[in-house]
Amino acid sequence: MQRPHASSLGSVLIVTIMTIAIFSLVIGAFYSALTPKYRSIYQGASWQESLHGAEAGADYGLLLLNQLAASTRNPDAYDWTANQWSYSNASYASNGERTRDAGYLPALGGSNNVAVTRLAVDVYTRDSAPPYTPWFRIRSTARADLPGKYVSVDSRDSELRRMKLTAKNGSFDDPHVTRTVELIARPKFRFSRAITTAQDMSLGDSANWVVDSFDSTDTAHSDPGTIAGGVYPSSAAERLANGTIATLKPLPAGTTYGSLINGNDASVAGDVLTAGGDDPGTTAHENVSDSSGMDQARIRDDFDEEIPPVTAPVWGVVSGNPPGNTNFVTGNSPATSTRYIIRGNLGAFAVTAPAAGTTGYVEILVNGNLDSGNGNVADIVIPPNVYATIYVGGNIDFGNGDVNANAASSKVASHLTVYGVNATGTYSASGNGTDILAFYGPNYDVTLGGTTTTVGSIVSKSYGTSGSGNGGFHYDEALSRTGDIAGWTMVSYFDDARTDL
Amino acid sequence: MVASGAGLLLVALLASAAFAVQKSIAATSHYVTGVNNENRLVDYVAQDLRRALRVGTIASGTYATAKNLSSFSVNETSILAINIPDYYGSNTPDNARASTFKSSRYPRSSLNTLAVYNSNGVALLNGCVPWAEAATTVNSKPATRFTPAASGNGEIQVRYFRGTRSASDNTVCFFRTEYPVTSNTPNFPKKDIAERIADTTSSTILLVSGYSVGSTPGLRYRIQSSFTPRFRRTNTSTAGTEQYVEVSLRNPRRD
Repeated sequence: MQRPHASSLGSVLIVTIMTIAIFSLVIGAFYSALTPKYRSIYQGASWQESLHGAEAGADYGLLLLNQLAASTRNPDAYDWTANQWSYSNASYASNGERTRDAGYLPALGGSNNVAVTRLAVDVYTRDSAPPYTPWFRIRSTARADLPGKYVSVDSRDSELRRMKLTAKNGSFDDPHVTRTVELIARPKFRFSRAITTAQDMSLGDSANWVVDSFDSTDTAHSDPGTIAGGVYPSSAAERLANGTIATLKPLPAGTTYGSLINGNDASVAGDVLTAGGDDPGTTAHENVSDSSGMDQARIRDDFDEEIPPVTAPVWGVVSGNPPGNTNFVTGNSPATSTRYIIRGNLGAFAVTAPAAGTTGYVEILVNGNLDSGNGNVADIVIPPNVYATIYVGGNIDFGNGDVNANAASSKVASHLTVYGVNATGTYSASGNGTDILAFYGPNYDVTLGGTTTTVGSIVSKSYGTSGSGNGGFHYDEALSRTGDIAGWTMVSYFDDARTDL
Repeated sequence: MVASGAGLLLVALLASAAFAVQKSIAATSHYVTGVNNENRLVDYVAQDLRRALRVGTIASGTYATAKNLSSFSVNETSILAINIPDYYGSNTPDNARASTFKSSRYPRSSLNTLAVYNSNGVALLNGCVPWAEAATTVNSKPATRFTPAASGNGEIQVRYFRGTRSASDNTVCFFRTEYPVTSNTPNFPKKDIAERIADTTSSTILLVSGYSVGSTPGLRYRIQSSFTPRFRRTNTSTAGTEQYVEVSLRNPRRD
């Protein structure tokens, strides 16, 4: 009797099944041992992405602040509610926290669904002197999905990344990681340097032509002037060295390094800033030519700041112009300043001083040129207790007259602000005149004589000095703390890694 | 007979295969642990550099500002020292929810309600940090003070170094520890952030290099963590893995 073949076939089957089972166990052990370790790499990636989200949220907060700054010069008048912000607690409206409405928070997307989950702004501090300008605090929190709710093998990863592995969204698992970034933003005043240009800059062509600084609010760094403040000190020991100059001029296409400021060997006591142009591989500063009068350690090429043009204001109610377009009168507060529109050119003029002990405010829009002429009658007079703002739609020529600098004037730059509001324009002065003002005209080409002295600040398209002379530029550091707020800039950054999630 | 021989051969093959796979699992596990260590090291250092106010090195107990650095290797005697804002209400560990250790020195709730922030005669100056306590000037530029002047310079120092875990545990680790800027006594005991960084099968190193941005030195750093496994039969090194992270300092430097 023969045995059936079926029994040997069964042995092969059993051996095959055992082999498959053993290999399955081996493979299972392989993955169960290694998967948690690889998981931490994914968790690390999500942790990084959530930081990108938090930083993006903080940048967005800064952008929104700058948009509010464009709407009004007064940060306490920002219309938060109309711009999709809500008070966290309406009882603290002056300095309290506002959060961006949820529907307007950035969702960055990606495979880990990175999104800003909270964006808050409050007043961190305020300048102790009027007008109590605020510094804002921006806190941005963002999240990114995690690949699963399981921990990685190393507890150190959990300690660093602080993941929310057991989080729920309703009844669904929602493992994710969050990061929070905090910025402090300070006001960026429009006149924070001596000279700022969008294009060419050429200084006076001798060491006698000086850019430096002083402080009209500090008696240790100014000479006695008027009730408005001190004047540029006669003693070199009292002068300051923050006469910073900066240009955004780009290099020619295809050029990496090269001169963007023509220093002309003028003396500059301050930082010298360009946007690129300096070869880090050399000790020389290729971005500035003829720089013998500059502190070589203060020449940098990391300047990056927008200088957007301003447009002419649109006013509903204005006052009738005074006879001869001079002796303008003032209002008694910034909100009630007297406004005039000159439909043509304006020559030399004076503002009438308000009663002693009061402060006057006046705004003048000149649709044509502001041309003060030359000679003894070429002065522009702004009394010490007056703040004047002039918008010029044409060209500006101060001739050889004194601007806000004669005996009847304030002699302080913050008391005369001039805006060039045309799409193109020129600003010129010559002779031995002294011009004390803050000028903002990103579309204006400025050309000053070598003997002309400017005290204050200029922001323009270009700046050039014609001829030699012992004139110069004296930046009033008081302008860096007061005046128009052009926007907001980060003053400190912190990645908050401890706060409870 | 033939069947028994074939069966034994098969079992032997399976056993050797299982042994090889187990060895491979161990090697891969070790490798992934090393890569995780690399990740964690660069992430810790990058986080602190991002918020740094000063960056320096401590060699033989002497601090030196470090701007443009060339491959500074962190080890037992070469310490990376990063000063960051003294941001929190306390630096004494306290894991209780909302403890001062885990809260800003100036949380909104305190600014809203505490008398110390709400007793100014000028209403607008209430509910925020007093100016003298909040703002300062560094290198002629406006800056955040972070702490009242009486509480120091508003910075704490984070130090990265390598060493054994303790006198009784010779495991070599990288450590991250926080110090007051004027003291060599840490705020809390040293904490290892990567272990098994130097054993018989692998080694991990941490290198930091500093670079200029334009002509300004020390605004960007490259952190490199390298892990060199030794899994060959002869236990010799293979080519290591290298991870790089480049970080730009967000805060203006104060040194």
